[in-house]
Amino acid sequence: MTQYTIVTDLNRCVSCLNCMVACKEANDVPIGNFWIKILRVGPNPKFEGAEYPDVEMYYLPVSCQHCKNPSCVEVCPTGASHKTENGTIQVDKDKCIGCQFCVMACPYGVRYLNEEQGVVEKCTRCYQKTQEGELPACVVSCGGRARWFGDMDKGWDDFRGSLDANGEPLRLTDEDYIKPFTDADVHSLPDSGNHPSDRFILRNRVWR
Amino acid sequence: MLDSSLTRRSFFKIAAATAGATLVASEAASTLLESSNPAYADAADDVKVIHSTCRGCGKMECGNLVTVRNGRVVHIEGDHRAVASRGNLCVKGRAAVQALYHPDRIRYPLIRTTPKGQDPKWRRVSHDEAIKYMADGLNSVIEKYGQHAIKTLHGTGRITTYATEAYPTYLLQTANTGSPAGVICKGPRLSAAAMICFPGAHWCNLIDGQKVNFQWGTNQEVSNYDNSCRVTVDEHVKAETTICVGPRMQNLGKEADIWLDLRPGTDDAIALGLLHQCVFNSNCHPDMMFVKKWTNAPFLYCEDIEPSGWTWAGWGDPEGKQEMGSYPLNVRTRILKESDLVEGGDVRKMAYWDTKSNSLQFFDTKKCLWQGQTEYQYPDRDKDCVEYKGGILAKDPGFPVDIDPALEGSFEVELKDGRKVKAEPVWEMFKRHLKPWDENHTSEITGVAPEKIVAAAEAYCEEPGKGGIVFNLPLEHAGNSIQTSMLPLMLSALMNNIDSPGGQRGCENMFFTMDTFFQYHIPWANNTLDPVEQAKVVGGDRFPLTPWFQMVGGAALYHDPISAAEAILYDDPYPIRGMLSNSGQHFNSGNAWQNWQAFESLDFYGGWELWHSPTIELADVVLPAAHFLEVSVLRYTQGGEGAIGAQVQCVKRQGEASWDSADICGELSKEMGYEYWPTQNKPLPVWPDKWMKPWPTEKDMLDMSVLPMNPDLPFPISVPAPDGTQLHVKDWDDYVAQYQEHSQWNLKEISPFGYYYRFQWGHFRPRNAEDQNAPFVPGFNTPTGKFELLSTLLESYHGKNTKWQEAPGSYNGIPGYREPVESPFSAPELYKEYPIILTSGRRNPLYFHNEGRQQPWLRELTPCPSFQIHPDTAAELGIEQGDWCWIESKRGKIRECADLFYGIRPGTIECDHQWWYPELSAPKHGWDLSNVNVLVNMDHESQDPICGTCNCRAYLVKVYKATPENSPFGNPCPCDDDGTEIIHTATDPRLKEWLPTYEYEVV
Repeated sequence: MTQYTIVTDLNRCVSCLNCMVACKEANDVPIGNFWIKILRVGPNPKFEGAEYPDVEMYYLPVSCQHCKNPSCVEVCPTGASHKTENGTIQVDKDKCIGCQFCVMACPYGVRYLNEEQGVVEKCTRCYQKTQEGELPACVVSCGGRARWFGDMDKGWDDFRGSLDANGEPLRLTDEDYIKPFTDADVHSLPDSGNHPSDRFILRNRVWR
Repeated sequence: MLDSSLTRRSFFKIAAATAGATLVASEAASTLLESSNPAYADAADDVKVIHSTCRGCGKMECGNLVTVRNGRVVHIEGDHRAVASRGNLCVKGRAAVQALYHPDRIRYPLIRTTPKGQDPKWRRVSHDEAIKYMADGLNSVIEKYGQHAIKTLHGTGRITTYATEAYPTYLLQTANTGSPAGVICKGPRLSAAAMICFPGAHWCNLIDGQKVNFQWGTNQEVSNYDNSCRVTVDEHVKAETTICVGPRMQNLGKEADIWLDLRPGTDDAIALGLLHQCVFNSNCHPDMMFVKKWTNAPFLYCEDIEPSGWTWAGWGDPEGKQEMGSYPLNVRTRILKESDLVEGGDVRKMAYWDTKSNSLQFFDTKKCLWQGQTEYQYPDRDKDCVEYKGGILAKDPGFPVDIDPALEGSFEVELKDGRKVKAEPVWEMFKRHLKPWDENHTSEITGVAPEKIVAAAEAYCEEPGKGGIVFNLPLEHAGNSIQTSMLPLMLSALMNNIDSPGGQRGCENMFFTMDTFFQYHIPWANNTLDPVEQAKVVGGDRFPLTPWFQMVGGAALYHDPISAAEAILYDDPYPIRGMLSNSGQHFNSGNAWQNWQAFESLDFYGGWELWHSPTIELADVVLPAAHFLEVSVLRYTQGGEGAIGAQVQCVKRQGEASWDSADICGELSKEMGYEYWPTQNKPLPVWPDKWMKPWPTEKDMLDMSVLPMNPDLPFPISVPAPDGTQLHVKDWDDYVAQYQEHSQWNLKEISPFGYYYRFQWGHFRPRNAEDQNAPFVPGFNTPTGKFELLSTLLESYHGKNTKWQEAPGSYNGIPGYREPVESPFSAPELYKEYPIILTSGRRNPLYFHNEGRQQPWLRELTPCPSFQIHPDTAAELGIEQGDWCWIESKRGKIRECADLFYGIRPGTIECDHQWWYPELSAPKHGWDLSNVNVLVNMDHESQDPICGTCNCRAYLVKVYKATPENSPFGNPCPCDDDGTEIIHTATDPRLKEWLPTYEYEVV
């Protein structure tokens, strides 16, 4: 099995927004549509009753989670939204009728109607790049080197990120870039039975 | 749609088949593949990947790779090989294509047809007509009112030139030159550092790594200023300890180990508190050898003598020379000199007490020699040095003669008039000055918990060499910019982080004056204005060091914008009636309304611009400026990373856009009747006549910029790297060709930047350019030759009983604290009516100051301005998330959207800066609706007393919800004069009208 996954080291994400604009460019996303968004989580009190400056914050990049059990595929009346062999969810634009059931069904609000084409679009994991062995635009452009792409079924060793000085992608296992983390530091977005595939590493902070 | 008929392999084949194409491993070879143009896969396409340098922001030099297909830029990405940026390319750089091909770019020369203050109703004219119009306009002002009646309004040098900045000084001979924006950004830091050590010392090298990553009032991770986001995050993560100073939780600050959450405008106080710990806390261990040997701490100071001194940095004198030239200063200090003690004694010899011989001795500040020292001491390459990250790192070999200068005690000396007086080392005074600033006192002033102050100091000062302190604009904005900018440098110096690995390694300004290996300004960086005329700069009567700061160059090439506005409006002290602008704005320095009214009343205003920004709508004539993707120029890192590269013209210029340095300045000079451009002065006397072309072409200028790297020079200009390596290039084309292969050069490999602690090696002081055998003199380029803990220039011009205002809180030239002029403590009555402290300047990654508001990829992500406010404060004011609110100071009011943010100090707000609305009508384009400079002070009292920085932060406002009742057109949302709303959602159809047009493309 293959499950293409993006892992984000939230301690390295600084909301530089490169992913948002690189995605726009790579995928020709219409103005006003966002296949990836950076959310600010907090600042929140560090502990019950804490006040400024005892607050904590992180940024959360949210795009299609390429769920294992995707609600969007379930509700699609035409079969346009479908799961592929590499674990990603894709929209077949020839089949899409723009009914937007999937937009409503998606728990993460990451699907958008392309008004010109009358079809629904969303993150493809930069299919056009990954099929050529390249990395998704949001991964390779990430200013803070926070984003990593790989096959979760192969484990952490498979994950690659931004390029080093020789043009080789860095590895998630390189401790110069990725500080140690435990299983308890690895999170996913809320799961309502759809089993999102993206993962988020967050150390020393409450996942909210 | 997703299927591609072109594989990565075939893409490279196509590219390789293209003549002149340069191939490098690319982040996104396939980005082109899903281009909407199916014709892409045509093998006949001309595809090039050009290795260039980004100019999407002010100055970080991120190497980039620009993909050009059939003469059109189709993709830009970061260059992973670039040593200073490591593949970083921010949103501004990526979205640059949307500026290049923007439908609203100014592409043709324009002359206004209506009175100023109205929509100019621009009329397109020919290039020649516009040049003539501009020349006549400037000439008529000069004829009527004299040379100083012209001032410049320079932006951030974004059209890759500083020619415009220097042009008026060197040709028109006006003193009112430079970038007035420099006075609120970097200029004070450069000026302050030039006073005590070397200009640019505030810039840190991060790529060599730091044990403590100390970010003070920065937001580098989103501003890329002046280290790239990627490098900043890399090194922050690798550092053992991270410290962040600022009143709000910042993007990367969320990860800081220690957050010094100070009240806005108290950076000077927290610095004094940290210095107190450094000196008095037994867990802190400053580098006392550095203090004794390289600072003026051991020099004896005597309160009982009249200050005396000499003229320093005179014309033609290499000592004290700065990037742009020299301006003579009168040093007047109470540091004891030989001339105070003996008849006929040398005023340049300063006294210290040697504890070994128990005697009074003298340090020769001109020759930089201790008593008894006859030869310069350099570290021994074998004994003292190790190689570190490609550089030479020397441990200090100690004193060259057998002395141990006293730092403590009090010594009785006999003056030449026979009086016996007490004198004490500067260090004793420094300690006395710091004594009150214990953690409790510092906490009372700054609001930072005492234990955090102690923790930060103990982490940074545990041992010397933990890295430099990165500090940015907030230190410059609260009315005490020069003194505040000196203090972190002193802390860093005590911990021996000046020019250390990861330390204050400085910037390009050094290379001009010290060991030139290339010329960026050739031959402009050579002031030809007589000091008597230079002294006439507006504001010079109040800020007497301004003409010297102008010699420091870079962003320190400024004049006081508030004084300039008064000269325009009130002819005080003389009339300014004309202005020349290179993408300058009226709403960054000083009060926006005052500047607007001043510029509106000018007799003549000409400029060049990319956009119909509000300020240029007051001009008489505007020429279209070229975009950075349309210009070639030599580039170097502004910050401390130490890299050089090239910006390479990627596409032909659209319409009639010009590169101002080569085209506009040259043509304007000819039309104005001058016999040469840019100057008749040679940068060096040995410069062959054949290089002094009166009217250099663009190619001539580019060739001249790399001339010092030419291997066939009749005399050497460049100083090589420690191992003798130099970069040799034949001409500009050769330089570009080598750059394509190599990417950025690390200066450590090709210049004296390869030495850390250059003060040990003599690369921090200018050398006599006419004497190739002149020695390199160890020390600093200051009046005492030392890193000055007591600034003799501060003492001379703003000390006790000088003609000018005493530096507030200072102690005989040791910098001190100034409470902001509008604060709860300094203005309690005002605070009752305006109970909120405003700070500003938070960086949004999308916008470089006023830029980017019309690029759809950027504007859609932050359509309208916001201010951060603590939820408790908001609740007290009845404000909810997203509410439009009025923010009102004594000077005016604006509207921004509330962002409830627990990470900001209650009672404080942080406002977005530099907003205007390109979608609204000329001439104002809505700048008065939300621009924070509407609120800022224009009183001289609120300015920095030394250089005139206006008070941009830490002043008082009130905040209240905008309602239909209290808003024009009954609409809380800001509107144009006809009631049209601004763009405030990502779905506004006007955003799509700003997508690229290829109508003006020249292929």
